[in-house]
Amino acid sequence: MNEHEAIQGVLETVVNLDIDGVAGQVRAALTAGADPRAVLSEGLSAGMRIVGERFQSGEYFLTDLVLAGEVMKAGLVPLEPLLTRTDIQGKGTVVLATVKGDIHDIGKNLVGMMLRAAGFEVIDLGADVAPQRIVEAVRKHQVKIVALSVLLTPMVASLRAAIGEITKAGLRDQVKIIIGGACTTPRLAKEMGCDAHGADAMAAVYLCEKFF
Amino acid sequence: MNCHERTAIALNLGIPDRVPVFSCTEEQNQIYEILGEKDQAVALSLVQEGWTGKLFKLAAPLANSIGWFNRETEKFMSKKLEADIALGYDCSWLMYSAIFKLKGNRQATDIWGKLYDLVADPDGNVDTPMYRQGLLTTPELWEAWHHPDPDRFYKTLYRVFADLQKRYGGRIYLMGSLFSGLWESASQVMGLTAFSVTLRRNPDFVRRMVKYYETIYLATIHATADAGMPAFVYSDDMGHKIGPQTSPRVLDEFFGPSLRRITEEAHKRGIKIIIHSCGNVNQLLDLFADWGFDGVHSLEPTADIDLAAVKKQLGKRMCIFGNLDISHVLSQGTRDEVEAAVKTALQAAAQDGGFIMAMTNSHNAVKVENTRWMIEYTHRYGVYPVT
Repeated sequence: MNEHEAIQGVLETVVNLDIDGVAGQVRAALTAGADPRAVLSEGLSAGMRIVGERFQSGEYFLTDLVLAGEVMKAGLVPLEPLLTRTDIQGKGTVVLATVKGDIHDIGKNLVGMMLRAAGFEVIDLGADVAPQRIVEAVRKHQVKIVALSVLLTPMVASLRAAIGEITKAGLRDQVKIIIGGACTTPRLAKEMGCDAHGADAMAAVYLCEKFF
Repeated sequence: MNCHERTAIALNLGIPDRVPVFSCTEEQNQIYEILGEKDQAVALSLVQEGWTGKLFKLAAPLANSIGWFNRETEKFMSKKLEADIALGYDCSWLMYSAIFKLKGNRQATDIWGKLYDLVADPDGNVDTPMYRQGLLTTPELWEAWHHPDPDRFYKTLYRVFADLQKRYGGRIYLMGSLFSGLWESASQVMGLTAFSVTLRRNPDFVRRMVKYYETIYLATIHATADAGMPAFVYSDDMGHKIGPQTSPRVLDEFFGPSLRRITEEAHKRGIKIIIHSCGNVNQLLDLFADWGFDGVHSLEPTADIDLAAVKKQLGKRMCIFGNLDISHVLSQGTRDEVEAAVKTALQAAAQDGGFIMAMTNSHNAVKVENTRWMIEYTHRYGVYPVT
């Protein structure tokens, strides 16, 4: 098996959601002489992108996306010791949070997973995050993108508060704000003065790539 | 016609005197407002802050041993029905949710193995606990959990349902229900990540889990029927905003056989069984009918569900419940917007019967005033023939 075939094997293992086969396939690629960065970008990340596209097209479902995240994690185990931080997360840094008062995090976690797979560093602040913490994270990490998740309609006020705090802190021009979640729409994003609305985790990746 | 006749005819896909209205309201803030008992609601700050919070935290184990939280939940079921009757609903979704144990004063667990946060409604009062994560993240943990015994579960549910049917069943058509269906139970007790991995690695275990939850549901169906309730709402959120949480093939393979047995048992016992599922369930609609359900509820317009299309697809097989929006129409909408939404729903799905008006879900942002308008306009425009 040559390097190219081995990397293709890694990609197919991810696309096929083979959680038990991916680490072996990665090792096989490394043994075949593949550059670890190529195994990551052309194997694991490329495979995740196809999974994301299949999710968007309706061929894959939420459980498939979640499983893919675990496949990616398993595939990274033999690879991470050989990579630098820039190799893994060099595309840029995104602050991710579910707004204050909302503890739902499945969607946010999926966005985080897809962004990491795509090569972004993700500062995941968790759920029920106060606006001030978001501002502090933006300042500390000098980020260009803030991705906010909100599931519950009553928490739209928290979204407004978070955007307000970013603006008050003089950081609004520094960042792009993307929102997503069950109660969000492109219209809401426009009303709130956000830069974009992401309908799903893959859309979030495309938006971040566009903004970076 | 009375509410029982009207609802039964609609459930049998017939045309009653007017469109019935279904209550799925479970929110403390709304129920106490309807009953003029706002002072009865318990502030979350009382439970979690100051000296009362400390006391509550210390007393939580004692409260659990005497079943205080669940007794209060059972009492609240009566309040819910009083409120539904006061508003003029024809039928009511009566969910048994006395399944919690307090974990200090900030969290709770349930009998299935899930962890919840204690949260507040917009008025700052204690709301329905919000699911946080599953506690049984491996098959070993699931096997080691002390799962409810179906026979004892039957006895508890029968006691509660029989009492409520006796006290309220003459004035409103009751539909028994249980918190968490087979899909929610299986996926949430493990957490979606662990469940997704287990589905791949150990599908036989998933089948065993589902079979156990089926036994609980069969016990629930028998309790409902023996209590004299005419219908049951099977509540199981299988969708999310853009589609089903897992593939229709997986749902049918792993859950379909159990769901078929549950609906068959309901029918053998002479009760109708309705499926409630939030989210975009467009790909699951035919499955709902194939699994044997008599009605389908929620049909959220914000999840891209077109009520007229659902009626066309399923109207000859299932009673359609829906689908007034709670994200705007019933929470912030004007009277005119509620009127327009009711008319739209009636036009989409009511004309040849087999339709029951409902909001898509219970939510603490819904206004009582808007709910009254929904009922008022259904009474006004929902008289047959609906034009």
